[in-house]
Amino acid sequence: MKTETCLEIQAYVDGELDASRRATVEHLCATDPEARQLSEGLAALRSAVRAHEPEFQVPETREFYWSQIQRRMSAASAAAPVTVAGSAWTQWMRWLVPLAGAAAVVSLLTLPSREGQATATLASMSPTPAYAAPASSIIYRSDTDGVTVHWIN
Amino acid sequence: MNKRPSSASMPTSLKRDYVPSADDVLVGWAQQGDTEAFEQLVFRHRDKIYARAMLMMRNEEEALDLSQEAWVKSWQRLHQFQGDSSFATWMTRIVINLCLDQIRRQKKTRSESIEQLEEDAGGVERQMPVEIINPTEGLEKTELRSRIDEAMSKLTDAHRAVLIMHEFDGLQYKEIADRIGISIGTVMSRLFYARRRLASLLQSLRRERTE
Repeated sequence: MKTETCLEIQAYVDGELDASRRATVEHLCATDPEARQLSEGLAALRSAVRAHEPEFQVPETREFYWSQIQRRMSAASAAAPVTVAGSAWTQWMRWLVPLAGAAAVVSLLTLPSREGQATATLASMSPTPAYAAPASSIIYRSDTDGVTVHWIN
Repeated sequence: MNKRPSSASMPTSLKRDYVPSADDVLVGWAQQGDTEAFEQLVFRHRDKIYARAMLMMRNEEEALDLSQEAWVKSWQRLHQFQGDSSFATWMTRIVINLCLDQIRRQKKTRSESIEQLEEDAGGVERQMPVEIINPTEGLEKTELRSRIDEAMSKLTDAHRAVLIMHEFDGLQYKEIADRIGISIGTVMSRLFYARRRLASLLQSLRRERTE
């Protein structure tokens, strides 16, 4: 018997065929003893296996088994993403981080154009000789405001 | 997990009676975060879920690990349970999926047996006799159960998985194909091979014990 025919008979036993294919297999089983024997053998095996599902019992006490599950549940809960409060913070960070980055970029790009403005502001301050700054930098100190600015060229 | 309320914090007047409650009632309470209701569900179905994992994996340690993992997964996904099937069926599907994942992982780390490679190519099927006689005649229920278990342990993971899903979980060919990620033709082929092998093993076992 061809493998395809065997599989068709099996599908018949498992109730997987439509009406026309079912009728074809029924006719085959009625006329071919080999097909009928296969069909009956498959059906007998199928019902025997279904009726005798092997049984196993958890080899641990109820309390110990449950305690292990509880521990895993706690671990999974701890490893899960931060909930409600964390979500709000994450939402804020989602906006704040790019904004802070953009602000930093804008500041860097506009720094040369602000040089004059900075100079004007710094004009009220005086260079301090108390600190030996590198040749490429100037230090301004305002005693009244208590501010020291280190300007690096 | 600790954020969820448990019945321990409930007023005595609202104390729940878990033992006589039906599964769907316990599931409802567990969905509200009641771990004691969930514990009762674990207690009721733990053997069935473990048995399914044991049947699939044939290894006590793995079966214990996967059955516990299935309970953790179900706790995490309990809000998804809509009651379309029974809770036991839903749980069984979770543990079967975990077992299939585990088998897939193991297949990556070890080559499949020559027997299975030949079967996938249709080689072994052609060599095996087509005849399937009833190998279960005249056997006691307990003995038959024991022999079926022993015979199933000798099937490859791939064949056993298809057989279990079809015979014990009642899944159709297409459902099995979708869940394992194989064609319906391969499901049919594996199921047929598994049955013939099982019949042959049952006959051998019967012969061995009568001799």
